[in-house]
Amino acid sequence: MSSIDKSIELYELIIKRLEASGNAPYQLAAYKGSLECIKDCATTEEATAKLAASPWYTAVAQGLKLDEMGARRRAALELGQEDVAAAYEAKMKEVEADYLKAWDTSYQEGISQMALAHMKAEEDALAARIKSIEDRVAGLDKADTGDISSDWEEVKAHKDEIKAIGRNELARLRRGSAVCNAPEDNTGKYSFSDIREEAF
Amino acid sequence: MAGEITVRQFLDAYRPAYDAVKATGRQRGIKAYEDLFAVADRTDDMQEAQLIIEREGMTLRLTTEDAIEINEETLAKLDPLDEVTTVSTLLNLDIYRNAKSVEDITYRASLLDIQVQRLTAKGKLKIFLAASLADKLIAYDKAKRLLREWPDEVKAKAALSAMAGQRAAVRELVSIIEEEVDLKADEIFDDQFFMVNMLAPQNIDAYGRTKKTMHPDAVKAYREMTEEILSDMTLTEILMREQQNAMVYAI
Repeated sequence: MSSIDKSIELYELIIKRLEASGNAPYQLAAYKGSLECIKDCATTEEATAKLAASPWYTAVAQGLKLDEMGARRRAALELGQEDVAAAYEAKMKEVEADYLKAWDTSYQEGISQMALAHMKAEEDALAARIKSIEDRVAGLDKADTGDISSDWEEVKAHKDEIKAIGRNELARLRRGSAVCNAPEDNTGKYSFSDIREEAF
Repeated sequence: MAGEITVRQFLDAYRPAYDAVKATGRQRGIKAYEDLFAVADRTDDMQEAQLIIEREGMTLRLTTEDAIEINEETLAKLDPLDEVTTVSTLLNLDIYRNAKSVEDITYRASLLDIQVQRLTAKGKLKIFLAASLADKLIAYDKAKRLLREWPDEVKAKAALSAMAGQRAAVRELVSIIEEEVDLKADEIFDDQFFMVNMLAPQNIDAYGRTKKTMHPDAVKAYREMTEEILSDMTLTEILMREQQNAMVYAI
């Protein structure tokens, strides 16, 4: 295989990987553009010279930074963090215009503050939700039992049978303890050992 | 060619990172680097070396293999079914095991903090709901037992009222469990994490891989009582039915 063929194959492999990822559109465009640029070159020297004179020369490094920011922007959007997403979008526009701006990372401090605020808001929202569920469960003790007078009359009529069943069941009540062992992985089940039993 | 670096020189750029991983003794990470360095034994041609590295996904593996090993080591110490302590580790493992690119890792890692918060809260809620259900079933069982003992009419009637109250509470609680942690009544006792938290677990080791719990037969009694409570049986029918799985209380 000639040197230029190896370069083309390398670009094709990278393009295939980036397509599979779906999270690297800028690098994908840069490699596709680069491949288009060199595919008709006869030698790697010619390809190197042609690439150096093309806009694709810096596009891969630029794409690397843009894809990183783009991945973070997409995650922020998915989480509903519009301010974080907007900050990444603004920085991406800056880097698209001048890729050297990618190495100015001062913007990250503002984003960190925004992310922390979102974490705190999430924590507060989750705590409030859990509190409301705990209150709801606590309120179950005050649940209305309804009118039990007809049940009571029926129960009284079967008093002796009910007491007999109670005696049978009481005789079978036990106290016990065990050691519960975790499985190897999260597809397994707990197992119990050292099971102790005593009369109720 | 003079001035051109060799494959070995090119790969030597990874030595400092390799040395750091080697110092930890983590085998998967070490192997990923050693596989990369071995490319120099397979070819002297820089382009061929780059093709091998790309074809075999070697640069991504430098990141993923070590991270997988770190998280697998952590998980091995934990109770893998604990839906609170394992959240972060399992999410990280999923990220690194399925990453196709560094950007995949960046994207999913950016979601991680909030996902961990949400799933941890859900796990904690499950613990609370499991303990609450166990409490109410025990209260129901006690009321049923007191009524059957029939100390006198006043106490028996109060016990019937308490039993009816706990029945109503458990019915409502089962609805809350379905709404909040997505477990239907017939799934509650098959969910390992929920089930174990109905047995008043207390960690024996530092990471909770072994726990002291109530007798496992208590779960059978809980299940049977829950089915009984959710059934259409009248209170009298319930009281005249002997439970197959009698309750096993804690020592």
